[in-house]
Amino acid sequence: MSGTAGLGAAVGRLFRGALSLLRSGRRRTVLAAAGVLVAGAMAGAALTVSIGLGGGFDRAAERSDLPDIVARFSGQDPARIRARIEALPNVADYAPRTEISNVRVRAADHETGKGALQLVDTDARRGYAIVEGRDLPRGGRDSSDALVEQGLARSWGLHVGDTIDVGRLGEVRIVGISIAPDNVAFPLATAARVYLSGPALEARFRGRLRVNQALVWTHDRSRTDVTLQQARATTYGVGNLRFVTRTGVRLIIDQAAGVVVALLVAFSLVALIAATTMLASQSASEVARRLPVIGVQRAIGVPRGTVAGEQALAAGLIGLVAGGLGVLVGALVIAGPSSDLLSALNETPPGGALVLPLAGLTLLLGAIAAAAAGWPAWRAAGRPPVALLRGGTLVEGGLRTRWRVRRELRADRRERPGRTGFLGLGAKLVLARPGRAGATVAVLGVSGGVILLMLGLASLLVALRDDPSAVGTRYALTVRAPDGGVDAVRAVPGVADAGERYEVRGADSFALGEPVKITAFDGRLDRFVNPPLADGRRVRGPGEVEIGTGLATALGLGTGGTLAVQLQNGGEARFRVVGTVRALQDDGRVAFARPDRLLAADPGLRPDIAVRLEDGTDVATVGPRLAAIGASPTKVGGATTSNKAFLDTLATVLKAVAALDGLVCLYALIQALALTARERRPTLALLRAQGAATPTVVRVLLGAGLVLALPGALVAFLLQRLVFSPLVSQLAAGYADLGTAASTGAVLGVTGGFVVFAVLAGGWVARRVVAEPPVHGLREG
Amino acid sequence: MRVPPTTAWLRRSVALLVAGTIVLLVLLLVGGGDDDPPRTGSTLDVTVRDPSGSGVLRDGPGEHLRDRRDLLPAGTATPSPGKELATVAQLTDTHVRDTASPARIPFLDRLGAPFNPIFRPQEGLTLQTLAAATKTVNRLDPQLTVVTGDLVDNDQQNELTAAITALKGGRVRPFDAHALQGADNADPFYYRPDVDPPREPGLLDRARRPFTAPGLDGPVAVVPGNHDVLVGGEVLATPALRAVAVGDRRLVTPDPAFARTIPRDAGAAQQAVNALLSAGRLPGTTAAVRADPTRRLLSGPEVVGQLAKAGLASDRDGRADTVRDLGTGVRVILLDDVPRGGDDEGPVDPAQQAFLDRALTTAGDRWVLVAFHDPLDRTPNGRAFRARLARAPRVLATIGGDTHHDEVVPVRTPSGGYWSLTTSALADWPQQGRALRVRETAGGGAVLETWKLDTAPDPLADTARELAYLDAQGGRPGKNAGTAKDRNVRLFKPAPR
Repeated sequence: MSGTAGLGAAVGRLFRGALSLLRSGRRRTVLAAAGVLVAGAMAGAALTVSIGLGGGFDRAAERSDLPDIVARFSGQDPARIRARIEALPNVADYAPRTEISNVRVRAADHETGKGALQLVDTDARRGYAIVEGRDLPRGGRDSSDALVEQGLARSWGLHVGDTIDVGRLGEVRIVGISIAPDNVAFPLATAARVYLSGPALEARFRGRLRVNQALVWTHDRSRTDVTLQQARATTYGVGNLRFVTRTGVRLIIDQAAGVVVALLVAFSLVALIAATTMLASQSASEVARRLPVIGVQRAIGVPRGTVAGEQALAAGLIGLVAGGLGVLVGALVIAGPSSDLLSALNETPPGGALVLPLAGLTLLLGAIAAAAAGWPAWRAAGRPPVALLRGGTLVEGGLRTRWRVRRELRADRRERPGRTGFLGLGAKLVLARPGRAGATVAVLGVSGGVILLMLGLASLLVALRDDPSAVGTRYALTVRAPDGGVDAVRAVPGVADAGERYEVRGADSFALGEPVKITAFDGRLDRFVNPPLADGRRVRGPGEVEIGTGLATALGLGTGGTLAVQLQNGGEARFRVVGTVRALQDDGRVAFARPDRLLAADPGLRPDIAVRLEDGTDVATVGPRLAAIGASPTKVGGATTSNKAFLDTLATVLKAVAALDGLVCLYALIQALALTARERRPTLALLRAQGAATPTVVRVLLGAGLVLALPGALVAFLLQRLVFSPLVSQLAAGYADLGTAASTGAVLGVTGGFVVFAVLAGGWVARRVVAEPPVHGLREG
Repeated sequence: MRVPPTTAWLRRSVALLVAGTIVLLVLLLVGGGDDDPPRTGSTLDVTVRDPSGSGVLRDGPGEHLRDRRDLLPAGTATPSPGKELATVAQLTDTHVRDTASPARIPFLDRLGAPFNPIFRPQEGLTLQTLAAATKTVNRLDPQLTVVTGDLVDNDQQNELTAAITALKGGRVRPFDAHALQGADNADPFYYRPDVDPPREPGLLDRARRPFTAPGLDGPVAVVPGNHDVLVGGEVLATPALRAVAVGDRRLVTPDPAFARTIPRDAGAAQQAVNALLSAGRLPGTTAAVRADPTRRLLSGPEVVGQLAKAGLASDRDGRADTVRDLGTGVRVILLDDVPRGGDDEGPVDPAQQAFLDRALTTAGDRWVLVAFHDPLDRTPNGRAFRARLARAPRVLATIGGDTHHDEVVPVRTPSGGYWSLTTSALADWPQQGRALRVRETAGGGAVLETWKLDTAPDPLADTARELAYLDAQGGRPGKNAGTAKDRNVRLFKPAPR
């Protein structure tokens, strides 16, 4: 017989052995598969979220042919702009566009005055993708054809073929739905974008459009800064010029949900690790349960490798099949909410690109399960069969084993209610197998840690949405200067302080693709902003600046360096960096300074007034008072959107992951209790034979459950506080301090949840125990 | 001990194999760059290109000579080029520039139209570019190099001294460009190589280091351009302007009020600025600059006098008109055609017209090349030159500068026509000179073979070319390099009628 044939036969034997192992305890196999399925679902969901949200922008940018540079300016002659852009180096293509803002758009039951008409040069590249219907045709002459952005279509329930009213243009017909990730989608973005053919409108109104946007594609994206440098040198005569690069576009989107998405992705990665850990732990416990079988196999002379191989293969098969199914279920459960989240950001779901990673994850789960079962089985098979048949564990012999055996014997002798009653008896039964109990506590701890992390995230999201102080902003309102100026605002009851604020969005003058938001206040900055100082010191005088760590990282800039900001008027303001701060807003690409240099570079800048409220004063109370003196207030938000639909979608994503995670906990408890009940069948039968009713059995199993659940909660708390929370913060926003630690209430909630799970698991296992006649158990004893 | 024949054969084979392998390896190593022939400066062999469109220049294949038969009668066969009569090189519009001069007006760039931008990101490297161009010309070894004007940018003594040194050879002290392009200048309209992309840290320091220019090996003839004899190429030096040039204040940002008063019409705007400069006013924010008497503004005769003194030009009553015969086959006539008063509509100069007449009539059977700076259709004097050239049957070509563009067009005349060539500037993309080789053709005609000359490899000159290529206000978008028919061509002229 050839070597290959021999190997084939050996594998065949191994396979048959593994199948027979799985068949020999079908209920146990189903239970194990259920556990793997739940862990797989969690892992699948985590991976789907991670890939879906993590790469959403890049996918959408590629799909929609997002330009490398978008230049916005006051209306210009198209020929003049074309000549300027065509003169730039590294320009591959260019498309002019005219945006008309604040147009009334109406459709059936919906209406907005914030319509943004995009008049497209239909002979040029578009910079958007069509997700439904058709595009505006090249050289299109039908001014009644329109595209609407996907967000608007979803929000208003619009479809291809519907009509909408657009300002003075009247009724237009929707011929396609588009997507372009150069901003978040309506209604997350206030502007509802409708695309129309520029040439068609020119023909209809017999006029020449002035363009106010230029979409530029480069030959080499890495040299966009060279293109921008030349563009800057030729901007004379073009007013209100702003360049937005892909980095800038990403920042615009991140203003709405960047931190949230980063948190979710980081959370998913942690959840993925947790799920695989649980799977490994569960596979190892399966082997522990099969130790007598291994003992019999070894006693009848089955080789050690075959024993371990069969166990590994059996676990691997469960990992592959149940894990694969779980991955699929998890992906399907989370795909909907994840897709909604991406749509809100004008991004596209991964679609088919998910198949390969999910398949890879399934294989990984199979491999982890096989390894987690095969290795302990190999170790166990190395022990004397007698020890295994007497109820050995995975731990090698020696002092520890003898100690364990003695303790089990003592437990067996004392298997009757003591001072702690039946609850205590249950605890003793579980603790008699400390390895398994430890594994279950670990699973519960990891799962609970993830749940606590999620609750921490939820609190943080609320804070980021509602509370400016969460991002180091001490003022709650901004107002336009009333007649009396700052003094009049200061005099309003409830106002603690007020000062002029200049907020300028520009770019780093030496790396023009890098956006910078600079906020300037007269006098001491910490009156209005106090993000934690990471390095250096606070601003003390003109010409000094504190920069966010995000900006410092992006520009490779540190204390002592020079921040040069390119302003929209073409001027440049320079500051000496005196400190870096952990600021969260705008991805940390922020800077705080006094206004002197800004005003020197752009004397036309106009401030608003930042208003800090007295402690305990409500915005709703002070707002009307400010309005009364002619200072209409604007509430200062946090670092994320306050859009309800968007936050609801986020909540759905979190809930879906939480539900899967909860299932993992419940499963781990049920499995541990079922195993204990199986092993302590004679004890439980004896109890019942002595007249113990169902509630007594429930109490015993509840005790067993609690002794696992309560330490599990403690481990969850420690893991979340010491490992998960810092890890997620670092992964999501290394440039800022994110308070993702769960509150005391959340910790108590999770502990309570574990107790409930212990009750449910105890009740479920007790029902199975009492369904069996006691005599069966007594016979085994 | 005697070695058995088989073993000896084996040893020899192994030795041959090893030797062959070593030779092969050496050939591979040495000849590895066969795809990129070394740059000799001749664009017939290799020239710089931007293959990806990203603005990064690489050596690429050269451009072969294209036949242009525009002046040949229809139906005649293309004659084969015969005996070589002479080789001439042309350099033009080098614009050697004292970037920090108070008499310069780069601040007007930001006003946009109608002003043409004068700031160039590579302007601190004009001397290095000129020196690299002379190296290429020396490799060509022409019988004469003509420099067709705008040797300097702003009619200043220090610029002219440096440019003459670069042409003659010697220690050149480049100008310091920190004033406009230093990292501490918070004016983003100027390219600051230490901080702006494409970042070239230390470029300004390297650019100001003195260096030894090789100079041109052969004979040189320079005719001045408008920038050599007028401030900014436009304005006659007035006493007030002379004072500004050597003064210690430089205008940085023009007063917005002044900017608003400038007419939008190109001619009127230029006159307004000329008037302002002539008055020596500095309307706006100024910065301190080291007063430098070598920034002295020169008159036309002074420029010609100094060029003549250096052996680079002839001085014919303050004009650099001259004739150079290259053997018995070719005569080069250099016409100093730039109006000295800054007014293009000045009168015809009878003495200069007579000079041209004499030069043409005494040429005999030589083919004539006529070199000058201003295009001939710009001034009445130039148009009178053109009328005389039209009657001269042995004029093969005119060679001009000023436009910063490569252009080759046939000029059809009753006497058989000639070719009009203008050549791009060394100051702007593509920063090339031109080679001109006159050959006889069968039947008494001639052919002028002309091709562009890249500057010789040099780190600073190469950087200058890269910056010139990127410049959105420079020669690339201006299409200064023309088309293939304006660069490397073989220009046929039939026998005189």
